[in-house]
Amino acid sequence: MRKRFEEIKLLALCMASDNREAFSRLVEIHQQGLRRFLLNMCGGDVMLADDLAQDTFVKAWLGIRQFHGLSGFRTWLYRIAINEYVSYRRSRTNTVMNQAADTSEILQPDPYDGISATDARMDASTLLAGLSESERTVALLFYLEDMPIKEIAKVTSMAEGTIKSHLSRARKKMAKIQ
Amino acid sequence: MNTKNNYRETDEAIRRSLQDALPQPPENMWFTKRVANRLPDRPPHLVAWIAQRFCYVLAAAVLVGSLWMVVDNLLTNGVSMASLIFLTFFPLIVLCCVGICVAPIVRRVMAGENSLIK
Repeated sequence: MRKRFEEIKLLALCMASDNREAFSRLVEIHQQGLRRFLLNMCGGDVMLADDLAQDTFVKAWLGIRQFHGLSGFRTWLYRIAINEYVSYRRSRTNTVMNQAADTSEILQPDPYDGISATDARMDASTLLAGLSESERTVALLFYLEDMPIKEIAKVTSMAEGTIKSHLSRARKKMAKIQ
Repeated sequence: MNTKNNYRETDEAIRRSLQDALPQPPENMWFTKRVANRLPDRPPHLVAWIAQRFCYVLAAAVLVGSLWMVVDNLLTNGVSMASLIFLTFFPLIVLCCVGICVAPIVRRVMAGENSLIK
C-alpha cells in the first residue's frame, strides 16, 4: 500500500511539474524487473536489453501526461517495453531482408539461436527457445514477473482467453522438456 | 479440482525453474543516471502556458494599479489615513506580484533543470 502511495506521489510530481528526480526514483523502482524481462526476451544480450530499457523509460517520460492511471504504472511501462522490442525486431528483420535481397534465403533473426550456457541455464533457455514469441512473452510475464493474467492482457493487448491459450501451450511444452 | 491442482504444481515448478536459472541483469549503478541524462525537455501544457502568461499580465496590472492609487491618493489628499493604509499594503502587493513571476523560475531550479528562463 505504501509503495503504491509513493508511486502515485512520484507520478503526480512528474506530471504536474516535470520533476526529473521523481522520475529517476520511478526508474530505480522499476528498472531491475524491466531489464530482467527484456534481457530474457533478447536471449541474454545485456547491452541490447539495457538499450531497450533506456528507450522504454525515455518514451515513458515523454508520454507520462497521457498516462491516465487506469492501469498500474508497471503495466503501462511493460506495454511500452514490448512495443520497443517489437519495433527493434521489425527493424532488424527489415535490415536483414534488405541485405539478403540478392539471395533467396531470408534470415529471421531469433535471439535464441545459438545459445550456449551452463546446464541449468540451458534447461531454462531450452524451455524458452521452444516457445513462439507470443508464448515466450506471456510465459516470462507470468512466471518471471509474477503478473496476473488480467495485467498480462493489458500489457500485451491480447484477450484473456488468448493469454490463457498461450500459457496452456507454453506449460505443455515446458512440462514435456522438464 | 485435480486438474487445477496439477496446473498449480506445474506452474510452481516452471516458475521455480525459470526464476532460478534464467539470467539476471548485472548490477548497473549508472543506469538511472544514463536515463536521466537522456530525458528531453517536455513542451509545457498550452493551458499552463496561457495561465502563466495571464498571471504575469495580472501581476503587472495589479502592481501598476496599486502604484497609481497610492500616488493619486497622496497627490489628492496628502498624507492621510487612507494613504498610510495604502502605503502599508503596497509592499505586500509588490511581494505577491514578484512572487507570481519568480515562482516558476524557482520551481525549475529546484527541480534541477538547467535553463532558468524559458
